[in-house]
Amino acid sequence: MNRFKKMAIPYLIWMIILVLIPIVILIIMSFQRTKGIKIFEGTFNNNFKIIFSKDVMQRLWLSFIYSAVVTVFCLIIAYPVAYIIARANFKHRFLVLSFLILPMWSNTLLRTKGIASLFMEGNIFTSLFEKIGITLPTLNWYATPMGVITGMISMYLPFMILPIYNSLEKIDKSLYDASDDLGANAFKTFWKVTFPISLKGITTGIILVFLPCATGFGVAEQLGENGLIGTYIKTQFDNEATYGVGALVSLIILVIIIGALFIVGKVDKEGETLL
Amino acid sequence: MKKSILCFIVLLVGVFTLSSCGKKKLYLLNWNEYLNGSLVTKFEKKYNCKIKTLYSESNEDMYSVISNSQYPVDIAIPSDYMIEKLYKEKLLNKIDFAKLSNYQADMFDEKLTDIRSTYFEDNESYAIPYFWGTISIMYNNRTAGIEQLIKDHGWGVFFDDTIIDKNNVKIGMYNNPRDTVAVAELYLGYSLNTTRESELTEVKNLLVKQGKTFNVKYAADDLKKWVTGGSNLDFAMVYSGDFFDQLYLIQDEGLDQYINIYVPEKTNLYFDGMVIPTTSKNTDLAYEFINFMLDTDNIVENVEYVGYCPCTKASIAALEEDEYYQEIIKTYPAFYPGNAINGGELYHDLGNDVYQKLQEIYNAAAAAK
Amino acid sequence: MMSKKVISKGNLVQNSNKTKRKLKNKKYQVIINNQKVLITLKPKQMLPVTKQQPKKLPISYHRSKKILATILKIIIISFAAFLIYVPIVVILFQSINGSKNNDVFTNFSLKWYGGLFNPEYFLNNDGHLSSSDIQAAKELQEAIFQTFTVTISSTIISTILGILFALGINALSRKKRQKMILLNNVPIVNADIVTAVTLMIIFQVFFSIFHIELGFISILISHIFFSLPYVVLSILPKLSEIDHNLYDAAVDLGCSPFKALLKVIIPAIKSGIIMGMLFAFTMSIDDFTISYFTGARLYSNVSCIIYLRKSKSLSPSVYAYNTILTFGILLVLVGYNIYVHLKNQKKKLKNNKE
Repeated sequence: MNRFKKMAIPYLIWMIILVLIPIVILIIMSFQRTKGIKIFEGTFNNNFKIIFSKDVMQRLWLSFIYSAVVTVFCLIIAYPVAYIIARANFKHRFLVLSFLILPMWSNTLLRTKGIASLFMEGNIFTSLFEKIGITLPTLNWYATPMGVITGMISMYLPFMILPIYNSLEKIDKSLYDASDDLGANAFKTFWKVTFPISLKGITTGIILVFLPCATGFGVAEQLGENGLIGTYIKTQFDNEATYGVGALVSLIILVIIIGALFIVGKVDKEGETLL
Repeated sequence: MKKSILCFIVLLVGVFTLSSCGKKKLYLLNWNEYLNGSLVTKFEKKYNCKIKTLYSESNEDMYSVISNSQYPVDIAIPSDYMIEKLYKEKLLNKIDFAKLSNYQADMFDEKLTDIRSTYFEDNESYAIPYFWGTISIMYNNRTAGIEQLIKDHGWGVFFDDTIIDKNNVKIGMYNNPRDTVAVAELYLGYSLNTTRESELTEVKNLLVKQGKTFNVKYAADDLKKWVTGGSNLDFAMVYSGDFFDQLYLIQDEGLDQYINIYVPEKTNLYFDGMVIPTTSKNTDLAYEFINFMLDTDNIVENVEYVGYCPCTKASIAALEEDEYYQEIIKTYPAFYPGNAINGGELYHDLGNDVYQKLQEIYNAAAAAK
Repeated sequence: MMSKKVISKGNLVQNSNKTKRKLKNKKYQVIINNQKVLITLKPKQMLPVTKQQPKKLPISYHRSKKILATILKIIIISFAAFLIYVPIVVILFQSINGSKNNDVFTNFSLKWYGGLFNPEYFLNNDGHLSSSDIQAAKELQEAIFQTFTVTISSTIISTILGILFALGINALSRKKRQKMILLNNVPIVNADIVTAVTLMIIFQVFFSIFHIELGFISILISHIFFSLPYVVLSILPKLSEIDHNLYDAAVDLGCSPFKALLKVIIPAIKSGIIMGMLFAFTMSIDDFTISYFTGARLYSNVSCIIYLRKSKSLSPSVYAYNTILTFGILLVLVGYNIYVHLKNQKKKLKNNKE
């Protein structure tokens, strides 16, 4: 099968063109006040001054806090769910699981729009219940931290359940029996056997939830939150004079992610954690 | 298996290429809800083409779409100051009036012509006015006493916590640096085109303070919807047409109407103009479109959907004959921007340096909590 | 003695399912006992030990505890399901709402579903709707068509390319392979917005050289770009399980290399390919950020028109589309489960007969 070696070369070229070259352009751009992508016409500009302003720092911090909270809540809800389904003696486990991850295939932005409409006064449910004479209380969570976090949890929960379930499902049942035989109680079995094996799934889940929460802008904007870093990057690329600032913020995010990737790579060299 | 997959790909590519080279396409860079769909259908039928609309939320966005030449935009409808910027950077084609049979030099409203005459030289031959309006305050009457406060204090309601109860009132602001800064400048009494460092610093401080004391939400097209919704916003700055858009919607559905609009004496006056950028490939069709949009019947049809005030004398006269619009024009002086001409000021292009400052001010204001 | 020999020759395990299952049981016993010698104990022989322990407690206590645990389990799962399904229910109601204003429910109506297929017919005979609504529905139709064009073509292309690239990476030496996998992981782990920005920049550079506009091509390339790594990553582990000699043997026996690939390798990695395809499809159909930056204005998919078009210019038919999509996939899943269930039952019957 060694004759296939050649096939890795086009992939390498593809990756270099679409990953490495743009990153080089981003780096050049980040020192400039640009005119769009015309990096040779740009002039030097100290974008770091803007980046380290209170405003950007606040956005980064807010994005971090939001996504950390969302990730923790997702983990707290998703782990028991995945654990229960994976250990159930129920025949159609997969059906229950697929029911829970099904919304992954329907449109995320539309679902966010749907849940956001519930947080405003006068939504479809209040008008439905008014018809039968019940007045529903208004949540008024729109654009509040409560609403943003609830909405995000609702969107990203399936992305946490799936990898954890996958990792738990791979555990052989006889392992539990063995742990039992060797005298461990239920909690100890969980802590010493189940949990360490599911760590890979948890890592994947955290990556799948934390990253889009912290850097995306579509979901957050639908929920009324314009103060996150994703929106900031987006607006920087709306105006061609500020491409440089946008490039610099993207680079900072990239550096943070590469750091995380490096750590993941150290733990798992074949890169299987991610799926 | 593999063969069938290959066949499928060939089919897909074929379908795509076929569908793309069928009819002529007119690429229109436009705002949301700024062109009546019936006119699109009408135009498409008349000229056997397809209008492909590219939606945009801000002038700056339109500018970047045109200047990056990412898209083959045939017609764009940016506002005044962006037209100036595009003109300065030589991104606009001069309009050949011989190709516009519906065009007459004196067909536009006199007050609009007045303010256009103060604009950059020869702007008449680069842009054809589409709609014009003012920045105004849209409010929800369900909040007791708010109407009187807005009429008494004008722009002050956005900033002065001695007149507005800061705990109970929610304010909406446009999420666009130019307009956000403009409101502060109007309140402070500065020119809308100021570039003075000291004045801009003051504006920044004011906006940050506003963000800290009041419950402020920054958004774009959603503002009007939230004011109508009531509990989400009590009042907001809007473009005058947005209010009428909501008003027509409410009257259509026969709902109770709580919203109203007020134009303070000092305000921003603007017009949006159809321009042909240099990226245009289908220029003939673009001229046909402009010509089509200068027809009085079409303008009136568009007004019914968009809610802004038309620019031509004939179409305003046509509206004044219509019973429904007579009522509207009488009840809401804000409909006709010419009423605000004494205190109205146009935006001018201020250059990239100042724009970046405005962007910083906006960012600081939006992050203040 | 025989069985030991069989097990030590790992490559034959693939051929027989029965040996594989046996081996699994044994294998775990090896791990637990920390011994490398194989024990031929069957797992069933160990089970009675665990079953004897809990008998000391009264049965009623045990049963009530069990019921309580079941109730708790159901509560936890239904809470999660509630969180996940609230928006879907909202969309369902909005899709059967007769009013254009999607926050006010006026009457039951299926017109938005009709509007998906034939806006001129279904949305026309209603006083509340204007031709703008028909226009909006038409734009939605176009967006749906574009979404599926991009999704299906990018899924197919990235699956084919992914197989080839995975073969290439698999054939590399260990160190090079690890580096390639790291590079492969970049688009997966990278934030969507950073990927989008980098792609936008490279497209702008290249496209301005060749005078092409952003649109279908740029969106297709970017969709292939972010789905490829998923395909590669789901195929690689399967590839490493195959015996390398199989392919060479097939070629030696007179197969053309392409035929050998089709007949030997593809069947062995089939599950990986399907998994990768599924990933590519999922990622592509719901993508927003990357499409938004790489030409969404000209070639919008559904997500992009939801984001770019506000209230009036977004047709409520989009709710109908999403409902159909969700429940269509639900049906497929349930159908697949029933199919698998029936298949298993048939197998069992066969086994019993034997």
